[in-house]
Amino acid sequence: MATATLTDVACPFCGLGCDDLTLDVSGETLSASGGACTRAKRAFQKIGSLPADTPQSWVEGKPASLDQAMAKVMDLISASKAPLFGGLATDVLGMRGLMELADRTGALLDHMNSEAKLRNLRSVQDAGWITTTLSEVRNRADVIVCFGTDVSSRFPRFFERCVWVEEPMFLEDSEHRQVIIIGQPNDLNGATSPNGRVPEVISLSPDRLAEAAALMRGLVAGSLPPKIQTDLPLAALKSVAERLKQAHYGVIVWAAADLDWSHADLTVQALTGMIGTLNITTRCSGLPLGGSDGDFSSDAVMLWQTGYPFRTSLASGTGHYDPVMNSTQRVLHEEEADLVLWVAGLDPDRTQVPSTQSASGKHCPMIALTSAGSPLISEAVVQITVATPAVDTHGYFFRADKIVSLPLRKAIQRSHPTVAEFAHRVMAGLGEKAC
Amino acid sequence: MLTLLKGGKIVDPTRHISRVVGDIYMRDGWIVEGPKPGERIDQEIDITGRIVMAGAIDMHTHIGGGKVNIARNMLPEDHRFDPVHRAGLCRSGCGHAAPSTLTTGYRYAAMGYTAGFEPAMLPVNARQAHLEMGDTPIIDKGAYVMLGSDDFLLRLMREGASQERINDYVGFTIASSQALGLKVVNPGGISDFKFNRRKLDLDEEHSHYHVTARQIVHTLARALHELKVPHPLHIHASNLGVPGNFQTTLDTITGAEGFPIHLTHIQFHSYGTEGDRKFSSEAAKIAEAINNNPHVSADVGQIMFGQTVTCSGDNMTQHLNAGFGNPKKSVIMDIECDAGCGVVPFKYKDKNFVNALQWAVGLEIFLRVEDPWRVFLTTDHPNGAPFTSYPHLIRLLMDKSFRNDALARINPDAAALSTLGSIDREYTLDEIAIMTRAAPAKILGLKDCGHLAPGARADVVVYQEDSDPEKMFTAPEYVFKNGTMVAKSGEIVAVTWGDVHVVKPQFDRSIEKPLGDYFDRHLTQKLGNFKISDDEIRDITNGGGLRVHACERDGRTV
Repeated sequence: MATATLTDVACPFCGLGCDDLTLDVSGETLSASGGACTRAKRAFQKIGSLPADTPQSWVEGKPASLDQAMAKVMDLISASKAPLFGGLATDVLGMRGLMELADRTGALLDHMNSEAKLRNLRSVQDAGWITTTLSEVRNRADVIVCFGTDVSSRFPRFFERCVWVEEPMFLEDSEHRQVIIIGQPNDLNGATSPNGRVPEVISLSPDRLAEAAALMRGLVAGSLPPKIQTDLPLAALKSVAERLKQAHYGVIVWAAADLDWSHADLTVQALTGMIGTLNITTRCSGLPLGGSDGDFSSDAVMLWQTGYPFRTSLASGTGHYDPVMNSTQRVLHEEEADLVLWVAGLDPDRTQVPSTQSASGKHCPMIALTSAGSPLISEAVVQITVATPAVDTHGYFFRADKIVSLPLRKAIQRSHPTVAEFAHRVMAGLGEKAC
Repeated sequence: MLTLLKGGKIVDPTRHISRVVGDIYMRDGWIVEGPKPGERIDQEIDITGRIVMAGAIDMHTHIGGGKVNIARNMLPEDHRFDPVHRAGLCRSGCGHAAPSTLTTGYRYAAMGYTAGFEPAMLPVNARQAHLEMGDTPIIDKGAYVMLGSDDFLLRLMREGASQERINDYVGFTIASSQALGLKVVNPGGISDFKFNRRKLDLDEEHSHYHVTARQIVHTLARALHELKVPHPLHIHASNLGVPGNFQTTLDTITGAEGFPIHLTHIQFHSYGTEGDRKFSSEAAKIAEAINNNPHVSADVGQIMFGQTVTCSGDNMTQHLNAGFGNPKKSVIMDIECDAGCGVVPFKYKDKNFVNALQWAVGLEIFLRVEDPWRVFLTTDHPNGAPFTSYPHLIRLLMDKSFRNDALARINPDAAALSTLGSIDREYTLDEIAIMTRAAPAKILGLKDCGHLAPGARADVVVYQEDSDPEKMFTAPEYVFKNGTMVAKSGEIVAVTWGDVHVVKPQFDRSIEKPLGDYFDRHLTQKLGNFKISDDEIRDITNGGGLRVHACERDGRTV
């Protein structure tokens, strides 16, 4: 049985992209250590510890060979006139393959995290923003406001890697950084300093956060009427605004997935507008964390290959981007797709699939590409286990700040096809046939 | 496979050949003398009467990396006006200001360009730049990696590290990011912006590190010289766009103290403060300085009127100019103790005084720099205009009456302040061939590109000569990349994947010890994952190769 220890392994199972993991390989069993968080440990273990008799593919819920599964895939794709490629949890190489196939078949592309991502995207496309990256936060941030998120719940090692560090280059120490959480944190452990200083929490329920962002923007700009009527904790928010104005390098952290209310893009815009005002006199940046489920990786490929982000349809032979009309849920509900290719090729615990049932009760057939260790998807006509980057194939992964992309190395040898190999096999099957 | 291009009029300035009728043979991707004894000619194309040149090279074009993808993300409204449908061999995409990678490759090739070089690759973002360039078909690619506002260099300089140590770091950065050259952008300024500085002159001290931009330029120019990297330091000087910045540019030239330097998008750095509006052209002084300093070269960064988007590493300046954005939006980023970026859409208007004068300044520089080997045809794509405007720009340079007609349409106050109308020079076809092929290949150290001598890559373009150079240069009759016909009269007829050009300077690998320690103590990735291996480049280029150019210089002394 082959054993090996891999060091400086990059992890694709949340957007933070920690690359200091140690991976112990024993046969086909993987265990992550080093700095690995519980999520990374679980994902590596689950994908890496596959019993030898686990089927690799299923057709109609029954184990099938890859060839049998691919035959069914070809039937479905050949018959499809309006395919939807959803999920898109994959890395750069996987997405490159899917894009070729999408262009060939005129597919619509949407990611499982699009709804959250659009909260940021709408704001960027409308006004832009000023943002920063993980190492800048690590070395400069003296006031850190976590807005609507405790950060740790989604990005377990954020504070360890970016805040409570031994030697920030431009601060005397990390202990004196101010961390303020606005919202209802689930987990204060990460945000608590090594000496036990708990973060300041301005406790607000999610339905008050839009208002709080707008109020803070007004406080920073000095544009509020003198006697403003509000039942928000005005003094506390005023204090935060003042501290951001006094900060050398303030950072506002949010995770769009946590801003889960309608028109939350306006909340993002209130925050980025506030940051814009702060930068007239001092420095302050946003840190809109994302990147989980490969959303920054596959979106980056879409952007450079088509010019457009998720929710772009190639049905007309060129990109048509529509963040409302091209949502997976709407398209399936309205029967505007006749086939779903669902790609969930990273974290095997991301098991949620969209409802394939339309308004009239009709089911859209689904092909699912999933990581090893994923449960059987009952909606899928065909399900194929694909190689996972960082486990049984190599790849490239964009982390939370969209700037650093990490090489994902292959740890173990298996026979699962990669997402790109799947796409190329389908294209070969389609041959020269016009689509 | 042996191909003969028969009877064309060869324009090959590297060999001092101007419109000489001759044959060109291409075998397996290379230009060769002719058939071996008994060898059959597989393909013969009669190009009698046509002009033949080497493939054009864009030595400064933003085609890869985070800032370009930010621009794409920000501007769906721009893409919609230039949709690109899947057709024939070509995949779908989008064009205009921030085109998709696929469309970028097709359009460059259809225009007779066979190589393009990304001028501002951030070390921490290098992998993305290579991934994007890897998805740019047909043309060869390469990049200049950015240093000068990275904390590691500034720490070294503050500590008084030896030039040898800095050379090691520069060599390491070029090699580990798979770059062809080195660029500095607003030296020290991007870093100082993070300390809330808003303007950093050439001789002002960085507020934290207490080094000056002049010292950074000198140190990096010297490093490249000593590492024998062919392309001299590619400098985006301090004070971009600031009225009066011509003096900074002149001081930057003297600050290099004789080390070879390349001043990029110099149009944006040639402004005076004369006139009622305190904004004037100092193109004549800048051109004179270039003429008098043979170690200095420049690309122009010509602006053209219309919508575009500016993508720059200079976030200090981009933040300052964000209010001029059109549409009014901007993305400004501080990046990884390494660099920064700023993306601001821009619409240059011919009736706007400043924009009109910028247009004239660029053309004045083109026409006043005497040596076409040291001035390069660029729009700083997409910052001055998209690269697809090159044929129009070529006509402006080659056709005085066309140029003067255009001058008559711009803002009259700007036209009155410019001396453009008094310049009679018209570029010759030979000079266009120099500035778009021979000279870029020479200054980048690409010995087998930019010319048509046996031994060169078979990157060959065949033009139907036309009295309208814009028409001639828009859609050449044939374009060959590595010997394969890739475009015919503007249509893509084969999709190939170009190579990545790099240099691998010699340096002391012991620099990786303090660097690894620095990464572990201060950054958020491991040094080993920062480095890009040769295998990675081959993995992501869709079958294109890696071409390593020698680090050697002719015997010029300083």
